[in-house]
Amino acid sequence: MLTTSKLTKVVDSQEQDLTILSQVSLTIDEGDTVAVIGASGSGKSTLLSLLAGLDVPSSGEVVLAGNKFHQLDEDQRAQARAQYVGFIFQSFHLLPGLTALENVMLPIELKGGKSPRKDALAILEKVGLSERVTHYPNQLSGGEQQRVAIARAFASEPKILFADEPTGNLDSANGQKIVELLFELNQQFGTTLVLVTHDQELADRCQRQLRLEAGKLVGDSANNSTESLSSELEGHS
Amino acid sequence: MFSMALRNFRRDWQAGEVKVLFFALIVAVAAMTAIGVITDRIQRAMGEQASEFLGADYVISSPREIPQEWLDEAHKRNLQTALGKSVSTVLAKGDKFQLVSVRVVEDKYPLKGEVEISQAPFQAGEKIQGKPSTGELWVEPRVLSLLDAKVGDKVDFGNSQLLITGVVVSGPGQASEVFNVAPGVIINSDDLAAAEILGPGSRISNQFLLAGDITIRDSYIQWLKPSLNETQRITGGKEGTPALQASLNRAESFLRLASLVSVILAGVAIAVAAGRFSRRHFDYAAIYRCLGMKVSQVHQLYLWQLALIGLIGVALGALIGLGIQQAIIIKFAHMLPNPMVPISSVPVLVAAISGLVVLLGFALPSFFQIAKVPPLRVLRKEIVPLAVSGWIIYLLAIGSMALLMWWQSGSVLLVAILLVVSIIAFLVIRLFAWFIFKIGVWLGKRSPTSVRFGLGQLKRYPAYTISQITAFGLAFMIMLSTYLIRTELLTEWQNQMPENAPNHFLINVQEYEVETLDGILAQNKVETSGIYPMVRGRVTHLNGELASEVLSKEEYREARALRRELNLTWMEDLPSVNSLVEGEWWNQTDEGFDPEAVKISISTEIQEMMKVKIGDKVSFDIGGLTIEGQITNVREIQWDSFQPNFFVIFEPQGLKNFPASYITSFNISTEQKTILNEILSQMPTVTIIELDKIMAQVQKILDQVTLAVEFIMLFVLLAGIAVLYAVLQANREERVLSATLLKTLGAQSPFIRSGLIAELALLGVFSGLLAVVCSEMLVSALYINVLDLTAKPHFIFWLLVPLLAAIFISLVGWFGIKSILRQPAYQVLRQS
Repeated sequence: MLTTSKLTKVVDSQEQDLTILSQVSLTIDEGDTVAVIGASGSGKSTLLSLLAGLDVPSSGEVVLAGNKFHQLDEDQRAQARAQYVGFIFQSFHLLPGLTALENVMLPIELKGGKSPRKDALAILEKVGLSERVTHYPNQLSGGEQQRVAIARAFASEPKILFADEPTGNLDSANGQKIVELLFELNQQFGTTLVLVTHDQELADRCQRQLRLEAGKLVGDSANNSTESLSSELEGHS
Repeated sequence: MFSMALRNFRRDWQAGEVKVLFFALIVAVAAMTAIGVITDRIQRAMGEQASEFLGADYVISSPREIPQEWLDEAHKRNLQTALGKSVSTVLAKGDKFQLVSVRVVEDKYPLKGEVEISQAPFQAGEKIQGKPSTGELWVEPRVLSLLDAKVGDKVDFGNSQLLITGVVVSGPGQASEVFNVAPGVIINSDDLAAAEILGPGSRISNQFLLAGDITIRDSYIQWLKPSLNETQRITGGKEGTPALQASLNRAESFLRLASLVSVILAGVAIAVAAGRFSRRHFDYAAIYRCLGMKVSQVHQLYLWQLALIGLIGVALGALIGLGIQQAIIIKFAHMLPNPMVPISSVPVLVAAISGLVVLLGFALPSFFQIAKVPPLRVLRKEIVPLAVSGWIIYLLAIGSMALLMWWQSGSVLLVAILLVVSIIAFLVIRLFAWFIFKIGVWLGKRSPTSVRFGLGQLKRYPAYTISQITAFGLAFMIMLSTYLIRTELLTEWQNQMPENAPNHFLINVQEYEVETLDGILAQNKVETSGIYPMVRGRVTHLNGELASEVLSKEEYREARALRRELNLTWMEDLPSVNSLVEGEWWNQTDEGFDPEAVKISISTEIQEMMKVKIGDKVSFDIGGLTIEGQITNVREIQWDSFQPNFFVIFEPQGLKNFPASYITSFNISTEQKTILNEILSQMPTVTIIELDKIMAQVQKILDQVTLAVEFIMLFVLLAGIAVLYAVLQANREERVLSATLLKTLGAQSPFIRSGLIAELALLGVFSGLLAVVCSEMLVSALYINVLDLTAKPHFIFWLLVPLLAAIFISLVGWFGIKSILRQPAYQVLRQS
């Protein structure tokens, strides 16, 4: 589904170049649920942005569903995103000018879906918001907004879903509900899920955990095991 | 994409996101529409009035009969026509004879305007369009006194006798014929043949009066022109009342300038508001991109929104502008020409297109930036799109402004001045940035904490502070400049037409009558502007060669003043309403008079016509005698002064051997008009020219122009306020955030308030000073180069403007933030 090879991101800083991500190679299979964990500044969000084609690597390769992101231009990546990718953000990022329904319809329309309205209503019902479809984001609570965001993310039936701290802005009760909903829908749609989180509990619900430290992939563990693969990975590089 | 743009637009509208953008655009378009439509209507109405002065839209005069072909063509084009003749002959009653200028009316007269006929001299009469019946005639008041006649008397006209049935109080053609020596009469064309006054070689002028729709009549004149010969002449069209031309030209320059200025201000407001709009939409665009929208799709989305803003704003602006101009027309109907001409679509279209150009020129760069936001912004809020190159923004804005200015004013000079001043203003602003730091640091050391906080805010982001000062300064500068120029123009008009400006001229006063005239005037307590001698003479030679040969055929034809008799005078002192532009005024005694080199002073118009310079000699033929004068100086005459003015003035002894008549002017009210009867009864050969009606007309036109000038000030102020508001609005979030942070850290409300107000007030003081400096420069440049006025500094504003600016910015800025500061800090921080 998604493979990277020697993925590196370097940014110009005032004094010297700063390596945010260094030589990350990994493969994520279809249907996997993967948590990316690590301390602040370890490169989690950078990795997510490169995997989703929001940014371009300084070197290395990213291939998502056969699309070589490192070779595509902005618009081609956008097209690939519309086709294969869904997003959930910490700060929801709903469009305040659109109603809940319109927000969910947008990715379906961009993908060229045949019945955006019907599909959007169906998924909103799944997240339990069929009563609030005509509300604007500022008329919804934080938990409700994130549910709309989840509906929007699944609406276009993406092959892969990226979630950036999906519970970061919510209290624990709401966060719990959102997590349940996220995994339930994920299972239902068979989507590949890549989520970035600080929350170990959330990470533990994923089949696989990738640990980043100072821009390097230092751990890749499956089924909650803590076996380190870092030496193996470094051996590849 | 359009339906999505429409949804977003509706939402932004409800959220007030596009409020400032709309306000600025509407002000710009409303100002341009109202000013454009009003000036267009007044101009066209004044054209109608000019036609009334003439009696028709066009008068074609010809010594020969008007060809039937011309008439047929005019009728074919549905134009109104009338034929007339004028001829000089003698009227007699008993033993009195008088040379008169006879207007022979064939058809309804006049085609435009009316002739006012009364039953006794100097009385109000009845205004009519028509002609005297066969066997009757109407006469000017002078004819009655010269012939010792009254209405109801019969006079001899050639071989026939005609009955005087009316006195011409006013009528077309009087303004242009004021210096006609022979008094005028009007007769019916049937009586001309019977009188048998036309013999071979009689000097007769045929007149062809024309009236009709402007485009049709103008195209007819274009058709006619090639078939005219040298003796045939067209009067009418764009020629207004010459006495007013200078004032009207200045007023028009001012109005155009002020209208442009309100557009520039609105443009700045649009740019600021568009900048804010685009910054607030970066997040949206990032999400769109993240969800897979292409850059071109995001562009489309926002360009559609811009188009919607443009179309709705322009439509609303045009409607409001039309409403305002209609309200003004209704409110000031008594001052405006009546009936008022209808609205023409041209100025409305011009305003609408200009509005769109301004919107594109100032808002497009910001709107174009939105789609360029990297999708990564969804994860990293600090990422903003690459700024559009400053050059492109400035070039687009300046280019669109220059285009509009050039389009509206047609003056490259005006555009150049404004552009040069903009560059100077930019340099001055840089200089001010330096001042701000110096003054800020100096004040900061000894001011209370809250003021230090305010100053600190300004010092922290110098580039940001400078950009705010620039925007505020620009707005204040433009408002102040417009105000200064307006005041100067209005004062000048008032000085030019003082309450007691002469409204009656007496000419043909003989030397022996001067004393009697003085007596009558003194007895009635009428003050004159002086009694000037006048000798009529014709220019014959320039530097000893025939004038008609020295000048090219074309130049000679243009120099109409050379082909007729000029009024010559002599004077000791330079008249007060004249100013020397070259050479020196004479200052000499009788002994210094050299009959071999008589000194003369000429007006700039004569200099231009004759292509002469100081030291050249001009010969005049005065009643068969020749006198040569040497040009000593050149004067500029203020023609709209309503004083007797002379093209050529001799030194006092220069014309002493020539018989002179005298001319004077004075101001009398309508009630005092009986003095004129007294004068005419004692000296019947004196010619009285009544200018009071024309002057009332002039006053009315000046009032109209004053009105237009006053009301454009309103738009400039509105546009200025739009800029101030837009800038305050654009920076509101930053101020709210820093104030809230302070609050979170435990600062008390009074501290935050005084700090904020100190910051805003300082911005006001700096931008106010900047505005005064730039205004003085701008106004001086415009006075000297465009408006033809003398520049002088306005010291009071150096104090007043910074003070007012500080008060205004602090008040508006503070009230915009006040309510938010009352909210809990957490709520504010969460929202931002």
